[in-house]
Amino acid sequence: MDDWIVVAEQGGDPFILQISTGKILFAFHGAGKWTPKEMFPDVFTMAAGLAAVGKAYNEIGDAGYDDDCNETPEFTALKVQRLSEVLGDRGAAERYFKEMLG
Amino acid sequence: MKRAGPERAPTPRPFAVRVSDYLVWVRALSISKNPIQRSTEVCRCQRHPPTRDGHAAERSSMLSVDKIRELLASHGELRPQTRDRWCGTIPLPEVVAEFYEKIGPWGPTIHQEVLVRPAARFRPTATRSAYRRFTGYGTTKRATAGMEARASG
Repeated sequence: MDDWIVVAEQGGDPFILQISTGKILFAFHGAGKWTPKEMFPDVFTMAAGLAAVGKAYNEIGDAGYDDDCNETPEFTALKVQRLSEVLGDRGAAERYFKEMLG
Repeated sequence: MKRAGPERAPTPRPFAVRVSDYLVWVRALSISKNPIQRSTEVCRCQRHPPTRDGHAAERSSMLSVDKIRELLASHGELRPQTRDRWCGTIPLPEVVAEFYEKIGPWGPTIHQEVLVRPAARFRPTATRSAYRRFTGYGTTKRATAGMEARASG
């Protein structure tokens, strides 16, 4: 099928542009089959959303992780805050990270 | 969805990605050759309809082109370009072409599909420096200027 194009990735997990709808899907690799979920309504929103999350990473740096390399609650809150600023919907931002955690 | 699978090694830091991991998409969105090839592999796999219970974010009315450009600016130089500069082996999706025109690929790596017209093909016998000028790998401002000059005819 020619309906999917990978336009971004995170650690090998693809963000897929579904050409027929323009939506951005996301799937984890290594699951045995591709069952992507809708993550962004279009590529523009994806670009803005990921840039906003990247901004959060730049802001907090290594302070975003504890001694066991787990994300701190403050870091999680900051990411949600930055994404919600772009999406205009905190609930959508929280659902995004819930999906990303599997 | 379970992340663990037969091909995936357990990760000690689930979702504890670094900035560099998260911004790989910056290079991917420049429509480099490799991500497109990976997408081909995706398409060859057994496909299932995308699930509709996913929580897609609704597009915000606050998202203007200027706002997106502002968000991306700190991650690399933006280089908007017209769709006729696409030289890839697959048709450029309309939405990606629009993205390129309004936002643009960004970052230091500009790939051959983006800048070089189809008539200009790299010759395997060319020198390494010629390859670098052609592909943009390890590019300098001077080399990039040369590529753009060739691409614009």
